[in-house]
Order: sequence, then C-alpha cells, then structure tokens
Amino acid sequence: MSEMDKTIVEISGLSKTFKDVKAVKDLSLTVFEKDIYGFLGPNGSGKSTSIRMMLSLIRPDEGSIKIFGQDLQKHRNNILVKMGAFVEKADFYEHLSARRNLELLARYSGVNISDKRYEEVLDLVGLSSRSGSKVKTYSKGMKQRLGIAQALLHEPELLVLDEPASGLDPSGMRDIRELIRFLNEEKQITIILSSHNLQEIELIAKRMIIINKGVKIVEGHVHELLQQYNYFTVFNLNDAKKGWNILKESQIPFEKADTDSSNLRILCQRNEVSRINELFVENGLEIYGIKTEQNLEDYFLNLT
Amino acid sequence: MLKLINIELYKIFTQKRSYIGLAAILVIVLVAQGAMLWEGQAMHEFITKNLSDAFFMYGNLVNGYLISFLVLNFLWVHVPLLVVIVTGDIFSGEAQSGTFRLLLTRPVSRSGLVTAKFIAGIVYTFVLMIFFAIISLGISLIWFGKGDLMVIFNSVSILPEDDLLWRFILAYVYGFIGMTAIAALSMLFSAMANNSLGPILTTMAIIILFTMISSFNLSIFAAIQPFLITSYLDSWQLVFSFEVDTGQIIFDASVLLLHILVFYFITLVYFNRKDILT
Repeated sequence: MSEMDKTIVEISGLSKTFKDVKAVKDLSLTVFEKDIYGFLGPNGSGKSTSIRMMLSLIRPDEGSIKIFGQDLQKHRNNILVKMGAFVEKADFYEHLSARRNLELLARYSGVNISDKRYEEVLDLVGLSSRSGSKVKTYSKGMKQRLGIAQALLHEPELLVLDEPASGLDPSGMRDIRELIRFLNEEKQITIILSSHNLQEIELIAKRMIIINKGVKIVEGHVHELLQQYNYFTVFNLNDAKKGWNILKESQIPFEKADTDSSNLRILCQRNEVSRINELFVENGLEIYGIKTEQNLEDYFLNLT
Repeated sequence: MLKLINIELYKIFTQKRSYIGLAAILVIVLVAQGAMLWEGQAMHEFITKNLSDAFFMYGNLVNGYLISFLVLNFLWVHVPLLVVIVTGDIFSGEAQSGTFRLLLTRPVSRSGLVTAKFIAGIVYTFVLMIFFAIISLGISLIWFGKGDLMVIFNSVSILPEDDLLWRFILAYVYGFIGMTAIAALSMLFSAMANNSLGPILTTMAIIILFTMISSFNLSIFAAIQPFLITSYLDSWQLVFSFEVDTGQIIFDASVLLLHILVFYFITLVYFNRKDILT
C-alpha cells in the first residue's frame, strides 16, 4: 500500500478527558482505502474511546475526524450511512429474533434491504439456520457473528470492528479472521480492526497503530514495524542444551537465550531465525517445532 | 420521523414489561369493582349515614359512575408508577443493554431519536389511560348501570346522570396530560441514567415527596407548592364540581404542558451531548 492511496480516515489532534483521566491525547492517524488497519493497545489504552469518537458515540474535546473526506461532526449521517460498526460487545434486543433485530437496525439506517441481502449476510456469518431464533438463545460466539452481520447489512465501504474476536474460541477467532480477509479482498471493504492481541493484528492487518495510555506509540506497515524489533523464538529440539552451545559458539547475533530440556528460547532479530534454523540442521539437531513468542508487553518494552 | 416512532413503538409493545401496567390496572379495577358489587351498598350507606338523616335519598346511587369515580380517586396515586415502569426505561434500558451502540452508529440523528422516544412514551401513556378509562368507566357502567353521582369534597354535590359522561371524559383527558408530564420527567431521568431501575425509583421518589409537600397545608410549603408538578396533577377533580372552573382547569393543564415541554428540551440537550460509554 502506497502513501498515494486514497485516504478514508484522517484523524488529527484527537483528545478526550473523562473527569481527571486523559483517555486519548493528541492522537493522529490515517487509514487508506482497502486497508486492514490494526488498532492495537493494551486494555485501557484508549482504543475504544478513539473508536467511539470515530463513530460519534463520544464527543472529542479537541481534534478533527475526517472520514471519506468529510468532517464527522458536520456530516455525521452522510458518513455513517457508508460505515458499519461493531463496538466491543454484541448487544441486541434479546427478546427479538436475529432477523428481526437486523430488520429494525436496517430501518434505523434508512436503507431498504432485500430479503436476499438478509439471507446473504446471515449466511456469510453462518447464522442462516438460526435466524428465526430469539437472540437470548444465542451463544456468545453467535452474538459476535450477528454483531458482524449487522455491521455488514447495508454494504458499508468502511467497517470498524472493535475487538470482534473477544471471548471467542480459537476456531471462532479463525472464522472471524477469514471473514475479515474475505471482506477486504473480495468486497474491497476498508477495515479498522481494534485488538489488544498483537498476534491477531499481525496475522491480518496491513497497517497498524499502537497506542498506550491514550498516546500514539507507533504507526506504520505491520511487517515493517515488527521486523524492526526482536522476538523470542522458541526452538523445540531433541537436545536443547546442545543447541544452546552451538548458538553460543556461532557468529549469529542474539540478545539473550534460555533453555530447558527440550526448548531453547532465543531473543533475536527476526531475520536471524532462518540462519539459526540452518545452523541447527547443519549440526544434526532434530527440530520438532519453531514458534515465535511475543506479547504486547514485550513489544512495548522493545519500543520504549 | 414516522419511521422512527414506529420502531420505538414496536420496541415498547414487544416487551413484556409494557403489559405489566395494563395487567395491573385490569386486576386492581376488577377487584375494586368486585368488592363494590359485593358490599357497595353497605359502604355507601356508611359514607352517607349522616346525610341520610337530613336528606331523603332515592335512586341508584351505587352506580357505574360512582364506582368509576371511586376507582379514579383510588388509583390516581398508583397509575404514575405503572407509567414510569415503561417510560423510565425508554432510554436507560438501551444504555444498560448496550443497544445504543447499535443505534447511534447508524445515520439517525440524536434529536430525532429523542423525539421519537418521547412520542412513543406519550403514545404508551395514552394507551394506558384509554385502557384505564375503558376498564374503570366502561365495565362499571355495564355492571352497575347509570345513575346520578354524589360527590363529597368540600361540599356535597349531586351531579345528574345526563351531565356526567363529558365530565369523566374531561377527567381522563386531564389525567392523560398529568401522566404524560410524569412520563416526560421519567424519560428525562432515563436519558441521564445507564441503568433501568434508577430513573423509575427517582421519578417515584420525587412524585411521592412532591405529593407530600403539595398536600400539606403548611405555610412553610405554601411558597413552593405552585412550582411543584404534583400540585397540578389532581385538578381532574375540578371537573366534578357543580360549577366547573374552566379557567383554573386550563391554567393547571397549561402548567403541566409546560412541564412536558421543559422536560423534553432538557432531555434533547442532554442526550445530544451524552457520551455513549456502555
């Protein structure tokens, strides 16, 4: 994605204070067309507040939000008609069916939705067989999927998903990831995806911003940003001690390493991982598995 | 706007709690009517015991109008609670359940939403009052028949049978305005809250406190009584005076209408500035 791409969201100098707590401080960011933009930060970092300001649920104290080139405060309805959103939790009118909920929300949007479109959207999120059931009978995962369905109903150009995989099991998380990829690649929808899970963002986002305590830490292309920082890589070996000795005697730079009977954890730059792998193979070590081990905390420590 | 009002009405009338008020009115009025059917004559004789020494009474005095009048007096204190169970939840219910996040991320204006909710709340109040009127007056007339109405306030008035129906209709219309004012107050509190119970309890607490202050003829309260909404709620009783003070009724109704407008505008301003955090 080049910087010449069309800007869809442009936020500058955004701030919000709740009583004495500065939730967001002077936040600026840019989202381009057809982007999957990761909004990353630990719990309480100001992600949700920023997302809610983007959706006009919260009024900013300062700053400007331009979406589709229009000022959100002045052209709220024009903008929102082209946006779909899922914010934090999937809450619905529990006494109504999934289909009835979608019909009500479509009427709020002021758009006519065909029966075919309802079926299409419910089918897309795997709920078509339960569309007539009351939402109160749904599991959390089903509600999350319905949350995404309501955001997609009116075929938005920009989709804002705030922690859409929160509380889902691994297979549910994978389904959501695949759906997001499909929407971006096949339907050309620009997506802003908020999460506190770095791996989730790494797997799916093209560009990302990281915020902490309401302040932007870094913004850029996901893989470029992650390349710059060291990772823990865990090699599962037949003889981890031997691996450790080989590594020590090699010329490969690494920051630190620790070992137990079968695992060797090495903190090194990402591009060194393949060299270490080759080194172990050349020295006759059997490698049963390699995985990266990085959480947001490690990443923040690297950044600061 | 019509579309928004329709949606809000649909939401109200698909909720079970909306029928609590109707069911409560039905049960209470039927119980009261049943009791009057059983012991109404004895009760009436007890109330009018002193009068019967001085006056000769004849005709059907325990009639549908009297029963309806007694039910009106008896239930007037309780109807506000039945109204606010629904109207006090109209905003806060959505805040509590998180559905505002769904609605307000759609191209619907906050002012439009407030107006639609207010109108839907008023329509619900109207339905409740119509139901109350049909049950209390309609069934009473069917069960007990027609007759003159003896009203004892400061003096005793006997209102003739053919001069009563319009008075009851006016009383219910006035009652509707009063209940709408209470509904508007509860909707104001509802817009400010993020839980369902708070606005209902706050509205009722205020109504109880204000009613208490309005009812006491103490000089300490006299200065503030004209400014309390509850001072105007029972003016429906004025239509059962022998000579109806139309000017006073119009003034009192206007004060209630003014309350409704003020509560609506405060809600509008507040909700337009409210951050949706739930």
